[in-house]
Amino acid sequence: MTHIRIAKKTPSGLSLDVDFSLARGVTALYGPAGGGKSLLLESVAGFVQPDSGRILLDDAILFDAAARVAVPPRRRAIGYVFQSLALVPHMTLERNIAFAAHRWPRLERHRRVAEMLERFELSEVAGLLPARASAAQKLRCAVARALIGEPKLLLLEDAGADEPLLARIREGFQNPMLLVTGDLDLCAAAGELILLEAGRIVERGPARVLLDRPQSVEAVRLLGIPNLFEGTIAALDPGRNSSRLDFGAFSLSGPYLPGHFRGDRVSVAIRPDALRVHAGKAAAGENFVAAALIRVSERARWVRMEFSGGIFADLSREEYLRQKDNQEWRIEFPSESLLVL
Amino acid sequence: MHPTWPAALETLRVAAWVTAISLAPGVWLGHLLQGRKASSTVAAAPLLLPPTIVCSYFLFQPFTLTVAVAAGVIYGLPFLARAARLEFERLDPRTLNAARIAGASEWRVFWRIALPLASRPLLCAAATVFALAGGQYAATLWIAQIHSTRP
Repeated sequence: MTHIRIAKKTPSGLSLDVDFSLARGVTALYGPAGGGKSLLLESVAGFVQPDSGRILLDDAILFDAAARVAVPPRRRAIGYVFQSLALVPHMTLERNIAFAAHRWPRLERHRRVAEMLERFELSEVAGLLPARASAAQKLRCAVARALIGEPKLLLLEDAGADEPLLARIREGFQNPMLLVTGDLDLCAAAGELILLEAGRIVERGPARVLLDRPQSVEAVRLLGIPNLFEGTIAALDPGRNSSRLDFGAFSLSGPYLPGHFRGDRVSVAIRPDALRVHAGKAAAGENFVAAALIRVSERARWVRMEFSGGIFADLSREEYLRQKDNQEWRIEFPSESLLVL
Repeated sequence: MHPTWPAALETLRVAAWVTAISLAPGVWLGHLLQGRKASSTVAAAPLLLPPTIVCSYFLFQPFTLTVAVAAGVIYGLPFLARAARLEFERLDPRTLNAARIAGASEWRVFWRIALPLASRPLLCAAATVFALAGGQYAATLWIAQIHSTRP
């Protein structure tokens, strides 16, 4: 079992306090800058001593504040990829990798280094100093250096790893991996997702589930879902599995909400890509809300439309081109996509 | 040969010995003193002492090359240690941490990473110690007077 429970206060006022288990596969760590992601990784690696808690890696105790155990970093069997990569500038890429393999005898070391160079497509640039290699080559070198020691856990800071690189790491590495990233698409590729803000875990769970159905207002905000409305429950009908939610300017019907009462205040979120946009006069139906278009901003692959009442809808470009000449707008809130928090 | 030549060579010899002897321990001391302000101040204390005080100890020794070198090392060592400490503290801790997590012992981190990265400024400090030891006039004069080896 790999379990991390640590608390640490920093002079800058951040108070890290986390408790979670790591499963095999990739766990993504997502959160705003200064939220304690790097501090968490540094504590696990042993560069920083937590104030209290316990770190278990594969049932081996790496740190236990109560028992005053703190295994030094070099004995932790952890691979670490720094955001700055931290390659040794006076060593070639090959020697950087070999440096981390010195516990093996000479021949074995050569074989392993050659294997790593091959696997990360570095054979041709093995003799370059880091300053002369490209950013992508340096990143692959840093990853190879972290992996060559056969770590039980790989920690990746946000160094620009992309999905193909992750896939390449996963080919020969089955142990847990903790990946800091600011890229939600990369989070979706991970198995588990942890949302970290101000040193606390806001929410964690299977990445797909968490991205689709976050359970708290903080998580919704962290994931950048702009549609967040405060309302009250106007009606609840368990028989027809429905509820009526009133937001002042408009009201919506949603699924029955067990554990809630009529009159409860709730927050409701909906992902902008789940909203459907219709031309004003033609359409009417359940959960249609009339709104005025305020702004349109073009994105790489879609178009974000901002409507009155703080409603944001993301449309594909084709859909947008089809609808852009509408005089009036109605926004459909599919009730199955409503996230009642 | 001009009569001043042997004296000049002697000076160079003393300076070379002082540098050679203080370099390794000074650098290692600097490495050990990283992040320890109080101990560094204590280690730098000899720099504060007037040369006359330091040399008074050697007054009762016969004036030999060894004594001259020892007097120089008393100044050279703390100077190097101080320069080395500041230089090591300037290194990117992440580069060193990367070596540690890769399984390197503290000695290996020092020898393979920190020392090469700081080598140029350290050589610079060593050159300063060489010059300092060569130009160290007060100590020589003091000891020389007692042993009356004045020209």
